[in-house]
Amino acid sequence: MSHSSAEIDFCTQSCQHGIRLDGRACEDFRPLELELGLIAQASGSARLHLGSTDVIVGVKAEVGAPLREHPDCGRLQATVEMSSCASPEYEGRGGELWGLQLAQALEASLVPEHPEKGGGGLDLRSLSIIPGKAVWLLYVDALVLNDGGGVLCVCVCVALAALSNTRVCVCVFTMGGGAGEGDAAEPEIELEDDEEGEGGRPLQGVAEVPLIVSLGQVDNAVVVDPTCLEEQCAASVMHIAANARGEVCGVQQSGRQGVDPAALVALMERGAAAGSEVLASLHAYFKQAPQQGT
Amino acid sequence: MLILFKNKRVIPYSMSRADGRGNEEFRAAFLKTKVLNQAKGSCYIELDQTKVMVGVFGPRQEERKFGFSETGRLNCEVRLTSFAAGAGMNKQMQMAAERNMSAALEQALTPSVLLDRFPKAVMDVYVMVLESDGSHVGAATTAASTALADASCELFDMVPACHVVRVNGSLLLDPTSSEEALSDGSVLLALQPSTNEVTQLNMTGSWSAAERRAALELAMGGCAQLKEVMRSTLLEAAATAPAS
Repeated sequence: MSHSSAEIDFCTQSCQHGIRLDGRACEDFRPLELELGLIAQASGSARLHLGSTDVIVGVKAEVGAPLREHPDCGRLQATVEMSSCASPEYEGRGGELWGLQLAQALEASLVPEHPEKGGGGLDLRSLSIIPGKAVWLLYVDALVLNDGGGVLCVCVCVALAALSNTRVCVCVFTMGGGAGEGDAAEPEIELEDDEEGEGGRPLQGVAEVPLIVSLGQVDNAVVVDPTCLEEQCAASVMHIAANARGEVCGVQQSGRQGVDPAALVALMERGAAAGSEVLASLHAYFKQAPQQGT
Repeated sequence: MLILFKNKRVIPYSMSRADGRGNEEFRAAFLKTKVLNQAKGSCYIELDQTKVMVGVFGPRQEERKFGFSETGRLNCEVRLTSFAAGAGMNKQMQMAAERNMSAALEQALTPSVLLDRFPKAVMDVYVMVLESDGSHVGAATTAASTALADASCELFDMVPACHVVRVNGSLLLDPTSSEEALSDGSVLLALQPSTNEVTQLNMTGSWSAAERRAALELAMGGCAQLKEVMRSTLLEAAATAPAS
């Protein structure tokens, strides 16, 4: 959505004075509303409102074959759909490219680059049922209902919330379905039916998943969590992935102008600090949140 | 005109890399412009086994669907040949990698182009990665920037780009694909050296504050080296061009 030069100028001036157009200070996030477990048929789900940006994520767990390179690791596949009602430019196939890029960013932040080593994201090795034959496949589907800026942060945050809420069934497998011939027989997998409503077991490694924080450089001011208009005013926007320990796990830059390297380093420090704060409060909420489906 | 640039260090203090380079040494970089007849500007880069070809067309008329715009647009399209994409990649993954590279290139190059000099028009940059032995995104950015200059596109500055990876705690500049596979953190930096502005920074893996600074400084030094190669290539090409 394009804004007039007068609007952009007004927004830039207000950021210089330290008060943004919605009344926030430069380092404030928009109010965050999180809802867990709203989709009954999904293994895990969450919906997040960050100001006006609204994203809903559902996670489905299915049994499938692992990749040849990582035979004892589960798999995660993310898709992001930009709903046409979010913005007129997403009508038809307009939002497809942006959705693909967001899905790529989501996968990169949720699972580590080398899953067999562990750490840095979801523990995919714990999703293995029979190494080399059967693993859990997690399908993370995000739907962006309203785009008010900061869609990347919100997608990662709500995907993290949905994964913390996900429960996979306990698996029982029996060797040899019919005429058992020792190792030659194919094992049968039985998913334990969950009548007591205990919900299965949660996913491992959710505490390691980083959160993405966007910081916009508007002239001399640094604004945290920029809205659509502020993203347009900013010379560049840095998306910084920070984990619970305050370490920077990934950086992505987008914008029309270059950034001074010293300012870059300062932005990364700010982003890491802000990200670990938000993560701490999120995890505190997850601990005391009610279980999926109850 | 052929430019061969070899950066040999006299002090072999670190022979831990497979090809005998120091940790802060570039591979032999070879750049050549005016390699494509049909393109307005073109550049071919070779960093040992990483080979990238870039062709620039434009400014051309923009498609109608984009509507009126007071500024021009830079459109980057990257193609990976099937032998450059790697053995394990299927079509989907290759297309995803191409998309990401195209977005990365646009992000790195757009701040350097004077877009308001060609309103309602588009500058097309087509990149073909012929062979990849690591650092092909940085090589593609460097070559694309040189090709834009070769196409007489008005630029604020050249944009060299390079990669730095961390393997077992030590930082390596310009990694090969085997070094990239062993790494647990990587940095891609595209810099405008004259104005000292970073146009693109991509970091993966967890980095402490001290490591971040060291990696950024190493990458900026690498970009400064590349800038000299780009300048000498363009100057030589201009010196030997037929008078028109």
